[in-house]
Amino acid sequence: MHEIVRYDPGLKEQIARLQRHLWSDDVRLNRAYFEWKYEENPFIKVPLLHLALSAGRVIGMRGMFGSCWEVGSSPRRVLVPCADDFVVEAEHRNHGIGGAIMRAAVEDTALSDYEYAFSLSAGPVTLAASLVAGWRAVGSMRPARRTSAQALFLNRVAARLRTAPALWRYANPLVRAHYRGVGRPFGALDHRARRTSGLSSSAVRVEASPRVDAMADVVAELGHDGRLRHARDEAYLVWRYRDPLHEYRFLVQGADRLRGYLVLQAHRTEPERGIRIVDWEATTLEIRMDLLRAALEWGRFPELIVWTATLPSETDGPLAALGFVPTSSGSQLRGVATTMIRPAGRAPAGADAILEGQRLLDLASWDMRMIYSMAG
Amino acid sequence: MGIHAERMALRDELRRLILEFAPEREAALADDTPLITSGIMESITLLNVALWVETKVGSEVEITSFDLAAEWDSVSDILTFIERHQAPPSA
Repeated sequence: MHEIVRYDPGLKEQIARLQRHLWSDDVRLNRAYFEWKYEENPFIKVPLLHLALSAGRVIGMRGMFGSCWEVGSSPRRVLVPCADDFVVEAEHRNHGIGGAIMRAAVEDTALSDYEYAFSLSAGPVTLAASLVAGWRAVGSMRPARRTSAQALFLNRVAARLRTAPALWRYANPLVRAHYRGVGRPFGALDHRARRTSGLSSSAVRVEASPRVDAMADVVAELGHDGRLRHARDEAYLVWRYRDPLHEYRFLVQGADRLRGYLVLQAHRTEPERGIRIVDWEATTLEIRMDLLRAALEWGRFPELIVWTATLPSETDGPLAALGFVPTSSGSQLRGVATTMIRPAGRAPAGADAILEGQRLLDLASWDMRMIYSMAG
Repeated sequence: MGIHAERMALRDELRRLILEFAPEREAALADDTPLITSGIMESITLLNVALWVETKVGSEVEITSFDLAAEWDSVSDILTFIERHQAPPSA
């Protein structure tokens, strides 16, 4: 038997243990991540989580963290709860618990203050479970990956091992051991950036801390075309880059006043997840590509991933030329990051879900960066 | 193989796949047992069934383009979905 309950602070420790499935193996790190994401969130102050309990033990979870979006030609700010962290312990799956948590999460009266809930980077499992709970898919964020020759070779070896009867269990440990042996994810980037006095031929610098005021200025200077995007002001950026589960590097061009920036992210304890470009803005295409080329040249990353769905189309060609390829053939069932929406606390969305004149089910209404999602 | 025998073979394969994730349901799993609305087939099982359906219809299945709970809520529903979407045999 199980019951679905709202979050209670007495369950925090159990959540940190449960989320070893998704966040990290380190319970202490998971606790810090929970506190940052749900307790220190600048938009929803009280953790909005639903938990499945069996004999008093937490066996499943769905969370909603707060986010703040800008939308419309005279931008209006809208607070939106974002669904995340869906997990049910293996031995309790297929007993209706996943569906019950999903329903409780979107039907909670605490959501009645909000128009919509978003889900920003659903993988295939969450995608399938969400569809059943009345979520509607906006579209894939179309991740693209650039893989080094060495990592491609390693992936091929691991793929072979996975199909070998006696050896399959060594495939994942092999990949993990390799990435951990390579050293810190940003080791090469930091080293080369220091050796060149932090300046590439295109005047790009690498910084370990975000210059949130200058980054917010770049966003403001670029203007807003009315599509849905997360508000990236100083207060948000300060909170966002304190994410304890990940570390970041900031490639910037410009002095006091930045002309562009590119943010890289790595998982603190699982480098095999790859490096991600989580935000990337510049006043010109040339600066945008200078930032990326500096990251590639200095970082020598085994894997670099970027969401391409709403990048300016002028970046498509240069990204392909630099070796970025889509991470899937396009099938929704093979690991794409899908953005989804659902009216908060009400019936599922019809085809006319509209916010400030923007059709939410149309990907063209969105201007997405990975940093908006907790994948970033 | 006749159409009926083909459906029976698919049915057995699908049952085996579902029961792999929910073995305790063997006795209760009839062709019309609700799978999604009852919670027997959740997230990972649902995903694996979707991948299996893709292999049977021979193309990608856009699971966001139809009502999963309505169209895949029983073994029988899923088999009907496959039959409806299978490419006709080439001449």
